Amino acid sequence: MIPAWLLPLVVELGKEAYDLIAKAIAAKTEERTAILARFQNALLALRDAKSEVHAALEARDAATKAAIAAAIAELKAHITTLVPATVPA
Amino acid sequence: MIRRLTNLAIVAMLLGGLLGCGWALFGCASGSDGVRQGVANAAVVVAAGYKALNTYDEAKQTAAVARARGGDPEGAYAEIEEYVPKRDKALKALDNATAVVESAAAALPLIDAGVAQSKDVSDWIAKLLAAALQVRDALAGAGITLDLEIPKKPTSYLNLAPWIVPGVGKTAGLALAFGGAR
Repeated sequence: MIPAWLLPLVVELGKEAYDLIAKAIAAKTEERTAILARFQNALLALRDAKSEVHAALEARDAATKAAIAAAIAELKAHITTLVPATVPA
Repeated sequence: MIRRLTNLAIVAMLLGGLLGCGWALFGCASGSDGVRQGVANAAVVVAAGYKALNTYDEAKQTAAVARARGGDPEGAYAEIEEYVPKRDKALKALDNATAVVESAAAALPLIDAGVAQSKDVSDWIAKLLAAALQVRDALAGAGITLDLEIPKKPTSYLNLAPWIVPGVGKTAGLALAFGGAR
């Protein structure tokens, strides 16, 4: 929209000036809307990524620790069963 | 005739103000748009960093579990013990960068209201750019490559305003461009 204070000037200069100004304002408004939308989307995506990744890493750490602990326990059990057979009495 | 020419000159100046100096003429500072774009750029970089870290971590831990189940749990344990502090350092850098992005976003109402000086605007852009660079370096420390295209002369926020271009990356499927003057 053309500001009210600019209208008398525009009326005096005719349709060409009106079109020119309206076009410039519309382009600027469109650009600004795009910037705002991108800004909001990027912020939301960042917040989502942060919380998702923190949760995923925490869960994965626990799972890996448990898996390695189980593998170590299994290995120890395996060694214990082997020792009596291999060590002479 | 002279009056008409004067009016035309005024309209030309107004248009120049609109197109050249931005939206300030109608109460919306172009500085805030610069910061908004800087925030958006940095947010995209940091979010991509989180995702890259997650993808990389999944691969790393899956390999460690496979190694443990394959008969070398001690080696897998040592590998994880060495890797996790590096990853956590990168995670901390991502969290810090997120804090910078959130602070810049929180400062926007002041910039919109015209309370902030142009120096403040430049400072925010510089902080956002620094945050993005720190994320890149921290990820590199954990073994992840994040391609950022930084403008050669990051002196003006107007030069830093523009767009991030997602593309094909070297590691974890990422490549981002930060900057490029409009």
